[in-house]
Amino acid sequence: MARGIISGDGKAQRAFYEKYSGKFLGICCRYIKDRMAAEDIMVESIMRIFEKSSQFDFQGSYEGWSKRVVVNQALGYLRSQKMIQVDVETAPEVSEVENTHLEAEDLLILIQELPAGYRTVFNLYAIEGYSHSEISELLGISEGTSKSQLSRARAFLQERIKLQMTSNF
Amino acid sequence: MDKLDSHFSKKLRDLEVTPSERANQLFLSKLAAQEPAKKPVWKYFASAASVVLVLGLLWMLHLNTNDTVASLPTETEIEQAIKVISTEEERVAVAKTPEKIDEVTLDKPETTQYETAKPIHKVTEKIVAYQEVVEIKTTEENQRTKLEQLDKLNISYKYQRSNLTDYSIIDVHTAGIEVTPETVIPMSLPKEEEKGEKTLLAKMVDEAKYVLNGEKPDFDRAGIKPAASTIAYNENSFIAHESRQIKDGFNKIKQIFK
Repeated sequence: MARGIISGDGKAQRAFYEKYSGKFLGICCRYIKDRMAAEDIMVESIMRIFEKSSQFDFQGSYEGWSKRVVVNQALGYLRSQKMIQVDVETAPEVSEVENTHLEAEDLLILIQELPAGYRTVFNLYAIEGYSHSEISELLGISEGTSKSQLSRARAFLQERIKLQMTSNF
Repeated sequence: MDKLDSHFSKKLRDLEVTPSERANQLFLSKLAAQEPAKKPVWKYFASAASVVLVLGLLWMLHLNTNDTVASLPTETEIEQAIKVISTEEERVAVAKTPEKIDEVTLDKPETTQYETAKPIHKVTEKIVAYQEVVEIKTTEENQRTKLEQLDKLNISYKYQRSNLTDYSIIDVHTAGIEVTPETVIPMSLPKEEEKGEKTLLAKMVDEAKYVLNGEKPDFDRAGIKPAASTIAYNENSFIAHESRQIKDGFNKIKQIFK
């Protein structure tokens, strides 16, 4: 499929969209709260994958390389919207919540309730697996800021989970 | 804290969200706009080469089915065009009925590429000329009428007048001379043997008379020395020596006085 996309085969490109559009939209929804904006970014990401397919050196998976392209597109959107505003305030200490019976959709909703800065750092660190140094390079912030943002994001999520659990009971 | 991260990572890493129809249409429109620019160049060359090939094949077919190819006439057409009249009877029959010939020539279709009219017209001309000759030879009566026919051909006769060394061309009809075909014989020069050759003595006597009258002696006229224009041949057709000629003359004189 990758070679078909590189050669500009329309059938291969449509097949790629049908297979990976759901995953790529899930990634975009974690970074972008607005659904329509997330879909636009998803489509633009796929078109960019087609354009940059010639740069793929076939070292590693084509899916992993494509996901990184999607993340970069999402971050570029957030940067253009000036949503990645890092709060300098220190994160409050939050007690750890052990039992979480929330499903993926509920967790997605909780992440979308985070501020953009918190959400970005949390996604890059907790889900994508980036280090603080890589996050600082991607977002143009210091590692300390990245760590602080991550703490704030975690505290916010635990607060929300606690409230939801108490509301269920 | 790590448990929270792992929990979120486990649940949200492979999360799939179904795109809406709007997103699908947006993708298809962008893909359609991008496809023409991505066509390989070789396809254009291939299409151009195929067009050239088709045109070449059509041109070859056009050449092979050309209607302007010359077709040689068949043997029957040639025989009809160049009909040889062999026997004399056929010639006379054809001469007497010239209309037939014309009809034959006219019957030839115009679509034939090989023109059969021209050679037949030539034959007709020959036949007409032969017609006149045949009538002259075969019929003995009305020769004057035949001569009048011959007048159309402007025939003239040559003949020699007496004692004249030049020839004059006289038209028969202007001179009022009736000449029959049988009497049309070229006149020949009178030979010296028929008139009677003079003796050498008589020639010398005549020459002496000319000298007495004041004229210069002409040895050739006297029979002694031939003229410069006259070439003397001996038995072997060689030019005789001048001294030998003189000796012959004296020998003749001797024989006279013997």
